[in-house]
Amino acid sequence: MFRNRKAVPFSFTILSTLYIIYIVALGDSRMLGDEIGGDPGGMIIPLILGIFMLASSFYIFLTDKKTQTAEKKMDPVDRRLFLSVLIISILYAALSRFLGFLLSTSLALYILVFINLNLGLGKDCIKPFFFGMLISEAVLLAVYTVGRTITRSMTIASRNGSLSGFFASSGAILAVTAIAAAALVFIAVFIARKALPKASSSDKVNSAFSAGMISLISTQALYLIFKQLFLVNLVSGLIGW
Amino acid sequence: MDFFMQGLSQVANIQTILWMAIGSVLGIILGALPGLTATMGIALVMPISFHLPTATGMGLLLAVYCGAVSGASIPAILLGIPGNPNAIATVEDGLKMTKKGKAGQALGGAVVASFIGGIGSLLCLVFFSPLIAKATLAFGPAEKTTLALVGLVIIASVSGKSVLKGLFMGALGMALSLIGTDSFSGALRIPFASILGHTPLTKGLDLTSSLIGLYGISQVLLSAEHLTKPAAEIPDVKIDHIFPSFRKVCSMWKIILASLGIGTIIGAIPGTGASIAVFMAHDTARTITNASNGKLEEVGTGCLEGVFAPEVANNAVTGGALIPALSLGIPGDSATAVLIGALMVKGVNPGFQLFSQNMSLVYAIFITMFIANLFMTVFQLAGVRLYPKILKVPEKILMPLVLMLSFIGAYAIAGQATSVGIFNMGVALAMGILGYFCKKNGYPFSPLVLGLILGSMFEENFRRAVKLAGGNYMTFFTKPICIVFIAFAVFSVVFPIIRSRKKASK
Repeated sequence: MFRNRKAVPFSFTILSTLYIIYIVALGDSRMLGDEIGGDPGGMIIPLILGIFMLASSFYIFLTDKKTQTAEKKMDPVDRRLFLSVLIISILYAALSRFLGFLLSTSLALYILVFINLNLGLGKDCIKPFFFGMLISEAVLLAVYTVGRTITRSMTIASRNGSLSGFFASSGAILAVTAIAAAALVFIAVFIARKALPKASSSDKVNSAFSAGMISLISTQALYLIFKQLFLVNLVSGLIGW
Repeated sequence: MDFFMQGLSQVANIQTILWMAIGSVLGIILGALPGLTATMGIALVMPISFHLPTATGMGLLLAVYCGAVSGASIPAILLGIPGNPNAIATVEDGLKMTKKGKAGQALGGAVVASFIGGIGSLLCLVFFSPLIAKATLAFGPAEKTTLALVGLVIIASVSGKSVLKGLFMGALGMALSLIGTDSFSGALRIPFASILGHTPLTKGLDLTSSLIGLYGISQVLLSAEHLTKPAAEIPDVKIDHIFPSFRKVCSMWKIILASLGIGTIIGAIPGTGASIAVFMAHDTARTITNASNGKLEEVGTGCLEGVFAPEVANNAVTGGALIPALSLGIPGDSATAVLIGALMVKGVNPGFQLFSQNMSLVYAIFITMFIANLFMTVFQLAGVRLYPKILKVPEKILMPLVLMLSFIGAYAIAGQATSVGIFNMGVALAMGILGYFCKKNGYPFSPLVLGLILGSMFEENFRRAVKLAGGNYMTFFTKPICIVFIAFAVFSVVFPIIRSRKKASK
């Protein structure tokens, strides 16, 4: 009977039922100082919403049927890519506190770009994938360490009074750090480009190079914008220095 | 005049100008890339605006908004694929002009048209929004309740194919907005309060993170489904003769005025949006050119008239949509819904309160809107040969970047609070997954977003109104303004249903 019904309206019906149960279980709460009465209470609106959601989702569940044209099955490669994005997103949200902003972001970006460029992760991809990941993470850590040292040294120097005027400002510290980071990234990319044809010119190696470069540049740029410009407390995780 | 000068002083600084310039270029790029919408761009930039002064932040968001609406014309003209639905009607004549070797003229004409549309609608915004805001002085809690209801119902009934799905999404958005703490009693309204009572959920779902998830992460998940499909080939087009002649522009005055009017009015009607306005403007232009006795080229043949009409209209929507957004707190489209969200995150509530207590900010918004249109024109014309190259950036690279930007944006809203940041990332992810399934099954987003924004305001005013009436629920049917709003709400639900039944019976 329900074979040609859609799963989403069914899920919404269940969700609405649970919502009503939860609202009723929560009980009513009155406005502070409502001794005279008149306050309809905190339950009425959520309850009305819950009942409306249940009625409408159930109606949609009954009337909105699957059609053959709309029911196109996802291509296996597409499904694999979709699941990769979903799993990496969940892992990123769950592990970023432990790994820290730099490692989790660069790893997630590297993996996603590499998988997208190769439309999956076949057996022949494994070696360039891990090799590229290791190199890009190593370069990222090196750039971060140099940048951090520059920022710290300049901040201490400006506090001591060794740096004065424009160079003591946070903007100048950010600019110097950004220039140093950009120079290091440029050198790393230049060396990698020179070394690449010697090692291999296969698509897999090229996509590992692209993924590494994108993850490196993007992670550094995001770090500089949010951490150094807007002073957001990005989690350090495993990189404690 | 004092307020204007104060508003100007909030905007006239290097920081604002610089961020707006960045926002404008970013907006044009986002608009030009198929799959990335203006709303998504605004949602992704919101965390940055959060860390800036209010006027600067709004300037940045408006620059992204105007840039993205205008930038969508680039792929529409060169590839026949609109960057987002705003440029859907530009495709017909734009692509034909490209095939005729007039791509430069089409791209330049689109920019000029966007500028005219943007500035024209800004004038309407400056004139009408204070008047409408003033009219809301007569609004008490009962009127505000029904106003929120009518806004939500209109958006729910026009934003999708199914009225019921829209209404369901509106109710879901409101239900989600009520999670947290009851503002009247201080009681917790969260499931598993003994566990979740110690989490940031006690303050409710973070609006910015929810919007980022809905517009950013859901789009990445959707795009992941078709990455195997080959990307459209970018033709090597010679781009020259960018500026349309002044005489040509003047000859199209009827088309410009009609499109400006259509864009502004349609934009001001909650829930309608640019995709409706551009088709209406294109059709009106067709009628005008057909009746011009050969003075104007016929729309549909690959002419500037066919590009001008939708491009004036879609940028006129930007100002039009801000009229109800700023004066009533009811957004005209999904992009302005996110803009309202950005204002509310900053503690600024749209409506009469904004116009009476923070008029300098209102002027600052008007000025930034003008600058946004100016920058959009300058940067798009300056880079008219460069932006087509951006179309070559593959989605395979773009989408992972959007995903990371979404997560970090949600995290950054928390500032120094790491736990809240991580929690926000979870909220963004959950909303992204919800958004993905909703989009796949034809459940519209706009009512959900509006429900999230208006939910708590609706409940507060509802309870206040009933309390003031001594517990009498009939108070909503005793006030004329409320009756008008309720009638509007009923009409906007019943009319589409009757229309679709009639269509089905035919």
